Amino acid sequence: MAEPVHVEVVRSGLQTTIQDGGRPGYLSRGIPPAGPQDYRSFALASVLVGNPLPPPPLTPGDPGLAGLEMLATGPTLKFDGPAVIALTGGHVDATLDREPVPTWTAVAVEAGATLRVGKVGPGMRAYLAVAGGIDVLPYLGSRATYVRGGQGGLEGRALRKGDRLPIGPASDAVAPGRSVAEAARRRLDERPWTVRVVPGPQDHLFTERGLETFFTAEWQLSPTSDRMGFRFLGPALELRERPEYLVRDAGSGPADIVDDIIPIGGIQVPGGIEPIAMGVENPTAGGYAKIGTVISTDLGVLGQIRPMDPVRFEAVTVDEAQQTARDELAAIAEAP
Amino acid sequence: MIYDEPIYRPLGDCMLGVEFGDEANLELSFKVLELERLVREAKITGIVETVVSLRELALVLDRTKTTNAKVQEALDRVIAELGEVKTLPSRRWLLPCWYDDPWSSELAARYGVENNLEIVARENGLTKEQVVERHTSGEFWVVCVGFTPGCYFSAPLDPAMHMAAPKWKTPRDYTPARCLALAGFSTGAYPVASPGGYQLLGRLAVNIYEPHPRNAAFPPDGVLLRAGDRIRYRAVDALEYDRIWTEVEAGRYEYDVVTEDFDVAGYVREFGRTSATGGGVS
Repeated sequence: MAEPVHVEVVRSGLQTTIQDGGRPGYLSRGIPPAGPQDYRSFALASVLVGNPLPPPPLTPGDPGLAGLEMLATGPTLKFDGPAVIALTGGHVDATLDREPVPTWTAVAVEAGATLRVGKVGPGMRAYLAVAGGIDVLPYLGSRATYVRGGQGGLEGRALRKGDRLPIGPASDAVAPGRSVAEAARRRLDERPWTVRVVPGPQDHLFTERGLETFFTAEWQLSPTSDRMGFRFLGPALELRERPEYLVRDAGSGPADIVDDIIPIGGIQVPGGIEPIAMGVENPTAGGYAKIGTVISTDLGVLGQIRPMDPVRFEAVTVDEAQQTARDELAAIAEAP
Repeated sequence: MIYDEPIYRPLGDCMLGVEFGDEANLELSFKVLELERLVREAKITGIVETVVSLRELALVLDRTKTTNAKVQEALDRVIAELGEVKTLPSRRWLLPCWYDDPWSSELAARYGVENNLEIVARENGLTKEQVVERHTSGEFWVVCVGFTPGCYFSAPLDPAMHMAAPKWKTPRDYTPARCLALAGFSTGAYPVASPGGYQLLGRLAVNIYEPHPRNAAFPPDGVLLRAGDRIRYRAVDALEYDRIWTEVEAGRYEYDVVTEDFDVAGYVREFGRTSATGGGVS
């Protein structure tokens, strides 16, 4: 068998991680799914290069093939053999041997070429898919990197200069030049960003005023945000008085509850200030009231907001959120 | 409180919660675990994963195959079958712990706070020795595995063992792996070195998390404990800690574990509707 094509990491970028569809099924062990924070962008990159459509967050099944999630500043990569790639997600002005590379398009890479991804923006996370996928050893069925837990990907960590990544065999469906229609791409120009939220599970612990403040205020993403949690700066949210037994059982803080499950997208509000929306590396349980849950399709929006960008939260019903998720999957399937 | 009827709580579009109450009461945990068992047996279309906390069963839904309304309809039928919980599958673990260990003492000193065992003792009107005696006098019930991989929350089954303590005012940015700690009503241990705010009681001589398991006691995911397990802690001294840890590192430590159903009905007869916080019936 021929030696696989390798990609050498010449520059690592700020935080470049190997991701596939993720590692669902281990929430009861405290293990979050990981995978791409912006599923839509990652999935579109994958199908552009002829890789299988990865499953959306928390959906069981084959996680598909692995690509890269690139935070803020992307890597420089040298290919020792031919490949087909696609760049999606946050905008990048990438070059291939100093020639501009179109984004949202399948691009052929010649043996020996160097891809320089550079700065990401607008948006915060760019995605790179390679036909055949990055073929590192799966951990618990997935190649996704859980950065904070040190699992998956390459040694459970972000890529470093000098890493060599083997590329798997490409499918016959590879077709350089194919691209994603404008309408199906991740929108990056909206200000304030809109993040849709299903209220609950503890919206009842907030006052009417607290809820209204949450859904009307203009928030800003705090710089202390990552794939575990996205923290928002803005007004304090008023909580209801708690009965004495909750003070005894859960603690004296106004948002303290007896620990329960935190879903991905769950928005904790410790002490009633600085809501934290959980990302794809969420802590799976915790003891602060959650005012709502970011819907699964908008986990990707979270992943594209830059620190201090303005953000609004919009309330939607579960039915609307589930319909949105189904519509998005259909749109991704027919995009390229 | 314990609700008359369980309440459905939306957890976004991927998950749905069924909550039996909002207080720290082990009776809620028993119901949650029994409901989890029944839900798994019922094989409801579109439920792809179940997760428990002390007071809630959370379900991961495949939103391409089902809706919340359909799942709730199926769950209503399962909940209607949920009678008095008689027994639950369980395992009894005996975990060795070096209480008042040097790492915990040094950590407290480095952060300029009092020895945590002293804090727990004062909060509960006990001496340090009495805290250890009480903490090793019976079994803890694992109510939830989560937060981070392998982390767990547990409460003593015997209300006489109840102790409580506040969290650190400012969480520390480092805790050694395997530190055993208490805050609120809950005892847990840090699976790996991590930030934390619980009061440190001691350090386990054994792993509760091995991401690449060397010991046969661990499943492939490396997480030792499950909700519904019982843990009894055994105080060991420096020499025994060292001997056990050497075996653990070599991957040949034999965990002291017995698989044995838990007699929930008998427990409830003996202790009634007991709050995990020792606060009694609500």
